[in-house]
Amino acid sequence: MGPLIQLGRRLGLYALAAWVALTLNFLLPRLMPGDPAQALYARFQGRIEPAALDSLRVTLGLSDAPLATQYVLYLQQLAHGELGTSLVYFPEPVSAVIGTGLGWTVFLAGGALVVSFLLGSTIGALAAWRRGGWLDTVAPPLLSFLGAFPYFWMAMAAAWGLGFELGWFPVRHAYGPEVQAGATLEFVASALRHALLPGATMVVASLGGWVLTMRNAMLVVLGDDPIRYAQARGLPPGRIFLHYAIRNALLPSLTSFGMAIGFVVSGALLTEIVFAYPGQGYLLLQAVRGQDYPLLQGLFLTITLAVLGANAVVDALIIALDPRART
Amino acid sequence: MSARNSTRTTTPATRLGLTLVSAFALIALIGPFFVGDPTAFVAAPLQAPSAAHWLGTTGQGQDVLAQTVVGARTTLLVGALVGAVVVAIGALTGATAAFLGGAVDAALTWIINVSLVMPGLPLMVVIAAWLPPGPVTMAAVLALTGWPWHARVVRAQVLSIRSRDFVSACIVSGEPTWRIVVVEILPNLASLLGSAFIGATLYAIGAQVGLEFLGLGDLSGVSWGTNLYWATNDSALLVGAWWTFVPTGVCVAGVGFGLSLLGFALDARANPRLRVSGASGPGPQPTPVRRGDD
Amino acid sequence: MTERDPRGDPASALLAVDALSVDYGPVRAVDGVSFTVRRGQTLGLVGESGSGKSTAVLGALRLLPAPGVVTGGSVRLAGAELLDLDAAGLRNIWGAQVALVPQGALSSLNPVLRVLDHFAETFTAHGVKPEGGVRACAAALLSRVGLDPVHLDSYPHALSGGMRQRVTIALGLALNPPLLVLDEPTTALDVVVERDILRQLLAAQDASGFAMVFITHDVALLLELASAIAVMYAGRLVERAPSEVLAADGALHPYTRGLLAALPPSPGEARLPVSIPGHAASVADPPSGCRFHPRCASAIDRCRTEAPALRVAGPDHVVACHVVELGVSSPKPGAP
Repeated sequence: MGPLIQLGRRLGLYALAAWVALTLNFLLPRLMPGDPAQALYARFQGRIEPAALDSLRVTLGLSDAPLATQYVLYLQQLAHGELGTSLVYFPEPVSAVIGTGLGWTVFLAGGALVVSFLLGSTIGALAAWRRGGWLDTVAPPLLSFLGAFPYFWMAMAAAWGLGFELGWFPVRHAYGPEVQAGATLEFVASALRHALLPGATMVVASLGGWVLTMRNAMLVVLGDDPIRYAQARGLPPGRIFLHYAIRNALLPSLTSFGMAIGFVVSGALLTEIVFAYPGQGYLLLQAVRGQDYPLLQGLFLTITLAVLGANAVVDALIIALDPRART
Repeated sequence: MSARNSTRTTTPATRLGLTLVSAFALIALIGPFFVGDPTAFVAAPLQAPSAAHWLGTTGQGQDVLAQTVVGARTTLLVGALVGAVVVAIGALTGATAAFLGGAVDAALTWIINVSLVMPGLPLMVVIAAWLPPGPVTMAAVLALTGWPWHARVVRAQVLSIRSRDFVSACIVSGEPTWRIVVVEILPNLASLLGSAFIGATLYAIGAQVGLEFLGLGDLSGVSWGTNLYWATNDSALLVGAWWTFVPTGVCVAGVGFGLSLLGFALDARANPRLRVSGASGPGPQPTPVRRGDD
Repeated sequence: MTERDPRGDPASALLAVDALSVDYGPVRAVDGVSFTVRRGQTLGLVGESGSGKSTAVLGALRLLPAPGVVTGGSVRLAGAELLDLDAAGLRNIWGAQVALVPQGALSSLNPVLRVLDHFAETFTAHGVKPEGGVRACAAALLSRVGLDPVHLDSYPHALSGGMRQRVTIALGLALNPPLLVLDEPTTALDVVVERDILRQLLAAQDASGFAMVFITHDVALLLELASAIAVMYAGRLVERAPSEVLAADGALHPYTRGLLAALPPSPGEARLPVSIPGHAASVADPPSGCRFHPRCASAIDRCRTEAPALRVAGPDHVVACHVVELGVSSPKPGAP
């Protein structure tokens, strides 16, 4: 019962957070001081097509209906996946625009997140195991230095140096103009080649955090009784490393991982912008620049829900790995 | 600060952190008096560094050195202010939750947890997009998203201090709540709040630069974030004008690295297991035998 | 302090610790301690917390964590010098030749492994393939210490403190080692569970004939359990004697006598428990001469300046005290 209750509480928390996000999305345009919605509407009037203007009306909450009625209508539309019409990509519906970018972001940011966590945790674990050794001396300060650069700045430097100057990597878009999107080997190869540089900059910028988290978790675990008891029974170092140190340090490390997902995704969004990578971050930039409020709100919702979903997956993973949470 | 610390053992890393942070604080404080108007058109656009313009010119023909130095003042000021506000909100919320307990604690804990799991950037973007751009909007948005972590940490710490014997004794002996908070709890929180302030400032600088890079800052002002925004906007990458973004990026990283090093020093002081005392390992080793000193 | 144990007979001993010193940084936590354990014998090591009793034994076994360092002496286990072995050599000994039942038994098991996995990895580490399989062998071991084998598939957090303590004892017996070291094994348990565990432990000792080193601050327990008792004070050995000698009021050192006088009287005994005045000396800043002298009612000037050497007081009985008269007028070596 214990773990189910625990998981239930976490899922309840995510459900509540999702509801808060939905409601915030609804309330923000309606509660802003000085009626910016009206001003915006006036600004767009005549510049865009009437159908787009109608979409904007709904998004901005320029309706005479009572707030409660609007809220019910808003939730009903959301339930059908209707997020309005994009202004920048008119007449595409927001849901379709976001759909084109979602896969790329999951591929790039998700991939970089997982690679960075696995690589960083491995380095952190090895550094703590040979405490004061060369890896422990070099890796934490070097990687925290690299981690001090903003993700997108790292991306700018890499794009300029390795992309434009040296020409080693493509620096724009998710795949080359010479290939057709589809399940072909050329397409996959092109997509991987295009993801390499943005992905690598995200990994480099976020690696230090995982190294330190894992190293600190390991140092605590290595001083604990089970390690000394394992030593006293003559267990070989490899067994102690894998089954005593790593497995016990991974749990607190995974908890930090869950909490950092939102932060890393935020950094990934900015990296996409530098590489004109057609994911959520790039769309976010388009929405901000074009004052495309329907798209902006849709992106906010999707990204928030995706991060909450990822958190739920991590929680389930922790419960699966920790017998104390399971039985 | 450094005089007092030198009596204790400061590591080279901590000294480097102190040096970096004080150096940038000094630049932000007095630097702007030594450079010209950062927004003035002073030379042809995108000139490489030269004797006249040590760090070259931007795509608008402005002096990059002046922009970097003046940007330091804006960015660090907002960073430190927001850092302080964020810690204050977090500490107040966390301490209230821990002290009042019961339904208030339950409600505040839910609010803290919900705010914690919401990804920061999209929330900041969507709020900032609705507000008029400017430093106040920027500070408000940053403060709004930054506090929950500190509230959580402070709540946990206050709960642990509260359960200690001497505080329990004060509560039982009927000392007024405010006295317990001021005399017993706050001094015990001081090092935690110091570490939280460093973390919050780090966050405020990073998030602020990111939002401004997206174009959500005050684009008529000069800050590190707007410098980077204009660098991409003016296609610095395409023409290879590295000097338009490298100085600002190095500054952001320098301050960030310095603050991180100070944060590590505080963490290591609070948690002795993180302190490295000579090389050891791999893993648990047999007790060494060192004969000869008797 | 390197005085040799005048009665040590290392040749016939299973474990012979001689003039062992252990340092924590600048602090000498254990200073020239010697004792021997014969096959099948139980040695009790007693002292207040901070007296160095655990440090001495863990240091001798090379299981003391940093910053502990062994700075002198000799430790021979079944003839092998433990202080000369490297990590690989020690791994062969740990668990197989000497098994430790750890002090923090409640927190010593690996939370992510089942009880059975703890047995399996212990066998594997020493290349042992038990007859009838690991599970059957582990089940038999658990039964021997009074624990239902259904718990083999439990994780440690699901077991009570007493159950976890039984698991660590069963794990200690797994490879049938000639020596079992128990570091305050029952301190955290209630009296009923403690009694039951000790009963099972003695039954196992009768069946297998292993020797034990039992570290505790509970002298009363050792009087029942141990064949010999070594008493430590502030990092030094002050007296070592057969337990029947101590039980029969044969203790010589004022500190040992104080420990025994502090015990609650047995039914029908006409005395009140008397505690030793003052606080235990610290090894970080030990008193000069005999470290017990500030608390000792019989202290003379010599006690303040000169550390007493261990002297033979009787068969298997040594004491480090300037004041006790040995030989003709010794208090009562042969008293009934």
